[in-house]
Amino acid sequence: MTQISRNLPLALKATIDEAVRSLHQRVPAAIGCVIATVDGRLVSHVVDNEADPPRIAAMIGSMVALGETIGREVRIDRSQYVVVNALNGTLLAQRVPSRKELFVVSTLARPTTNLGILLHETRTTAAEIGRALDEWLDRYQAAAAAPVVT
Amino acid sequence: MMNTQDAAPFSIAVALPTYLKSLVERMLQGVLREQQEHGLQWYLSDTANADVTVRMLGEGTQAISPNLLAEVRRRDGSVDLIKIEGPWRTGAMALALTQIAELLRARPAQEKSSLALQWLQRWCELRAQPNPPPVELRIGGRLAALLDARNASMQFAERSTAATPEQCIAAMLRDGWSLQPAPVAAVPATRPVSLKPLLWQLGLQSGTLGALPELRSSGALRLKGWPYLAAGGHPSFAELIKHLRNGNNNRATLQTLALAPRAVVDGFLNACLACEFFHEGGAAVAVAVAAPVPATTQAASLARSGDEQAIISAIRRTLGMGRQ
Amino acid sequence: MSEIKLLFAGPMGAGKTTAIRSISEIEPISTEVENTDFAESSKAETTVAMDYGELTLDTGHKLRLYGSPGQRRFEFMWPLLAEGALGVVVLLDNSRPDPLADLADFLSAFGSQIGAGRVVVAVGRLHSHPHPSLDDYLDAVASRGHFLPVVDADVRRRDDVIGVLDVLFEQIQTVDRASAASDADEWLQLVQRARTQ
Repeated sequence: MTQISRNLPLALKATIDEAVRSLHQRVPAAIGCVIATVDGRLVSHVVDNEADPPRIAAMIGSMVALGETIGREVRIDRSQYVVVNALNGTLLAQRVPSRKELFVVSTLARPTTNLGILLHETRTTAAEIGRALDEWLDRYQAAAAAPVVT
Repeated sequence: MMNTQDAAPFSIAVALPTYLKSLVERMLQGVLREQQEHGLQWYLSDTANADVTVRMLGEGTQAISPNLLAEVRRRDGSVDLIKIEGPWRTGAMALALTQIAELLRARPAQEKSSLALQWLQRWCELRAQPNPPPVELRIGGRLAALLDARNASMQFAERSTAATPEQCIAAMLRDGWSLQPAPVAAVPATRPVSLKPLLWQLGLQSGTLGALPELRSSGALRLKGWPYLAAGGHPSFAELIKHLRNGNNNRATLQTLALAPRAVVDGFLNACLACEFFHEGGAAVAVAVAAPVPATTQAASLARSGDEQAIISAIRRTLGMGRQ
Repeated sequence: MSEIKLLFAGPMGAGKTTAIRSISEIEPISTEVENTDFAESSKAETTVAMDYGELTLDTGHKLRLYGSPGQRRFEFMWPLLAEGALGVVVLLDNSRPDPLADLADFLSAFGSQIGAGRVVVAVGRLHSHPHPSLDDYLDAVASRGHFLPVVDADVRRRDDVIGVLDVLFEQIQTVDRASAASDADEWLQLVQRARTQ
């Protein structure tokens, strides 16, 4: 697949939406969850505070990419996740692992949250979305490669 | 590119001691014959009237040199000196003569400025008419381009005649030019391009002869924006642009600031006027005497920006940029 | 001056990375990721945080070269990267659908730098795409009440990049000299003090 269309296939979008809702419920003290493309476009979100989802999407795209660049430059290899720990909460962002790396997932939680749970749940959701994406890619590529019956 | 002789054949005289004179003259005969094949005509003459006189380098001194010196008397009376090193080497004389021919053919700067000023005056006249019609630029009698005063654009007669501003100016100098309203006729099929680069060059060239008439009034001059054709120009342009931003200056006040030689300031103003970079009609400006700046306070504030100036100079040096 | 830096800004594909590469002594570090928006551009990759290059000056100081990400959703990065910059070069691409709209975006983003005379706009691909013309840019800048250089440049040519920086530095040096001179005006200082009270 060389291109991804502006609009995600509905089935994949539905899976991602559900994963986002589920993550938001599983994490105690969660304020929100945002899924973005690697280049910062909003895909799905649940956000409780006044933060602007498209802006968060752009920022987590930048953060994850910057984290990876820094990791390379300081020779600690690829960054696995980025955490911003602030007075009123914590933001954790990471890439969605899949054959084609297209998405980043982030979770925003209140200061009372347990960082370990935040990391675990975000990672679980990322893996779930990654599997859904890989399955979709398989189906798409199989359909593209299928012999045309004349 | 064909070398065109621009005047009657060039004359060359040899002013050397007898034992050398005939030797050099014989060398020259051979070279001059070759030059003729390239369209350059020379003939040997006496020193009183020759365009070029060849002498010993170090003539009249104790230094003995195998090299020659060519005195080139140009049309405007100025004399150039060209050293001919190792004249017996193959091609050395031929090269020297070609260089000399270039010098002799080169138009004195005065002619270029004069052409530029006349051209712009004519253009401004044509442009000032209500509903200015398209204008034909003829060079050497042939239609070179059709000019549109409203859009400041030009269309070359054919793609083959397209030329840079420098080439245009050189052609006009060589072959003569005219600007006339175009009779109703076919429009060239070539794409219109901006006329401003040519207007800009002509403006800059015309500066040695002063300012265009419109600039001589006391009306304030205010730039519409940063004149994009000024990029890469004389170092003083940045200062001139700064002073022309606010409408507090006219030609007279700018000249008193002495930011650059008069010719450069007038050239810049002519160029901006030709390219319509000024706002229409400003209020009269009186020539004010710049207030003297107290030395101590100026030194303190200059020190602040001094760091930055030093940094910019360092960047310029490191990147090999011309001025610092 | 703690950090000596220049920012190259402009929309996607205008040549920021190319411009930095032409003067950087290191291979530019970029934070590029896959471009998922082919409606925006056909480029395979896009910068999401910044490009970074360096040049060691003959004084031993380092000139840091930053390139900002071009899409509007990354405009939060633009002031961050512009902070403390010696100057900003806005690179525009005349082959884009609406270059004057791009110009407007960047003029808004860098208003204070423009006021301080630290911005130059360089328009690329003018020869293949002559409209809008430099006169149109001149009008657009003036209509926003700004005064800044807009020049023609092909950033694939190092000489053009240096030419753009030359214009930027001329501007900065002229404005610096002007403000230094006016600082020396005691009356003006009095007025400025009164204003801040």
